[in-house]
Parts: sequence; C-alpha cells; structure tokens
Amino acid sequence: MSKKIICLFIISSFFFSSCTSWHSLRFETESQPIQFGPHLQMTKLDTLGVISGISTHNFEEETYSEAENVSIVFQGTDEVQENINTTIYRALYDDPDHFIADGQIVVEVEHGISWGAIFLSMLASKITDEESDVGSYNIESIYYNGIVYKIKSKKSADEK
Amino acid sequence: MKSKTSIILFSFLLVISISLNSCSVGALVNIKAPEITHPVSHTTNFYTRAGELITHNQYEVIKSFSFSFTKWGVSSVIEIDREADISDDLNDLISDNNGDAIVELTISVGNSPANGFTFFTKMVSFWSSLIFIPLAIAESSSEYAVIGAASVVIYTFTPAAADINVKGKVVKIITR
Repeated sequence: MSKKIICLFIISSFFFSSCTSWHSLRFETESQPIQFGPHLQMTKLDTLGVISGISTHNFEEETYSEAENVSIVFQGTDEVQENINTTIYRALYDDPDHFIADGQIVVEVEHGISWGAIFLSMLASKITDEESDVGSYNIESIYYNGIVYKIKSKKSADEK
Repeated sequence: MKSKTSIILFSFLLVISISLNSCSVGALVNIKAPEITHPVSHTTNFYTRAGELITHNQYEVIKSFSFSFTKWGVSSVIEIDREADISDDLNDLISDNNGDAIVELTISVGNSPANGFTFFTKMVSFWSSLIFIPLAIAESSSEYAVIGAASVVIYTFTPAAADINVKGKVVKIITR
C-alpha cells in the first residue's frame, strides 16, 4: 500500500512538474552605468533619489483533452509594471553624470492553479458536454531597486 | 441536528472562501552583492573607483560567464524572504581572471521543476484539511484534529524553489 502511495506521489509530481522558463531583466543605456551592489566611487556623489520597478512574466500551461486527442497549449505574456526601463532611462537621459548603483534585485516565483478557473471550466464542460480544461500557471517576477547618483563636479565639490 | 447544519455551513463557507483564491506555491529571494570589490554593471559601461566612466571601447572582454543556483523559500499564504549573497562568486570571477570589472550582468529567474512536487503536496494537504477538520469537529476526535492541524501547517508553509541564473562578462580596462 505504501509503495503505491509513493508511486502515486512520484507520478503526480512528474504530472504537475512545470517546464522551466527563464525570465530576465536586461538594461541597455547609451553610456550610463546601472551598477549592481554598492557604488565604489571614491569621488563625491549627490544622491538624487531611489528608483524601483517590477517586471513580471506570466506563463500559463493549459492542458485540455478531447475525445481522441490530447493537446497542450503554452501561453506566455510579459508584463512590465511601472515600466521600469522607461523610468530608469528617463532618470539617466538628461545628464550623462547620472548613474544608478546600490542595485538590489528580488526575484519571486509562483506555480499554481486557480480554483475559480477550474470551477468555471468544470461547469462549462458539464453544460456544453465538451472537453474539460485544467489550467496551471507560472509567474516569475523581478523587482529592481537602485539609487540614482550624480558625480559632483570638482568645482561644486570645492565650493562646498 | 444543529451540529450537522453548522458543519455543512462551515464546509460550504470553507469551499467558497478557498475557491475565490488560487492554490499556489512560491518563493521570494533577495539577491545581493554587498561585498563586491570591483564595479559590476548591468549595462556595457561602468564607473571606476576614481569616478572615470569606462565605455565599451575602453575595455576588452576576458571571459563570458554563467552560473545557476536554486534557492528555497516560502511565498504563498505567508512570505519568507530568503537572501542570496553573490558577492564571493562575482569577486572570485574577477580575481581569477585578473579582470577590472563585470559588465552586462543579467539575472534571470525561473520556476524550479521541484515546484510541481511541492504544489502536489500542498494540494494533498488542502484536501486533507478540508476533510479532517469538519470530521474532527463532528466526531470530537483528537486523531482527526491532529491530521487536520498538520495539513493546515503543511498547507501554510509549503516551500518552493527559485532557479536563478547569473550571466555576465569579465572585462579588463585597456591601458593606453
């Protein structure tokens, strides 16, 4: 009996296993650096403010069965909340002395199913007497936090 | 009769309240590098310690690197933030290759395939709590109460794993 339960666990884990899809956050700027970790400058800096944003990737796996065929549908969408790149580029656009450092990245993953979606798909399949859908989803989010700095010109540093 | 009605009502409310939410497993990981000794940039440019801006035509790429690791955490009903310090990895890459900085650092994240198994465990604990908690109330059984309570604990603290990939290029400044 216990062997059957173990086998059921292993088979079920394979059934529910998600394929790995990578979600990356890339930055491209004209010349300004976006540095990870603390700034290492020995020159004096002005702190201009904190910058943050979220980039989310939602990947849905929909498995549905018909009478004779079994098909798998993969759907993925990228959603960049608060438009992190635009915000960062806007902060850097006006002044070539601006750069971002003290960067911190928080990543979050989620794998699951929506009870509501399953309930509705079961209801729909009962009414229409057609195929039933069971949906699962993967969400990968990257949160970015950094500080915008400006290198003080020698003149303004001397004045102070 | 009264207790039977309250059990049915309790079960009905439990199913409705849970059906409005989704069942998932998740992990939250904070990636840091507080002890880095050289500039590490997400873009192609970086500032040196002296405040000199180095652009892509002022350095040569010594090595492209990529490494991955898995970090476990909890982020579903409650969130437990885990930290991953990659300072040593980045410092070693620069010193081993006699470089001056890292450019084009890209951090990627993915759901670990192990999350399929932990998700299944969470589903089992969900159904187990749904069955044994009403049974424990109805029959005043301590055994059912223990199973129900254990199921709720497993459901609340089921972990998940985040696969994290770090890519970049170790560079050396061209001296003129």
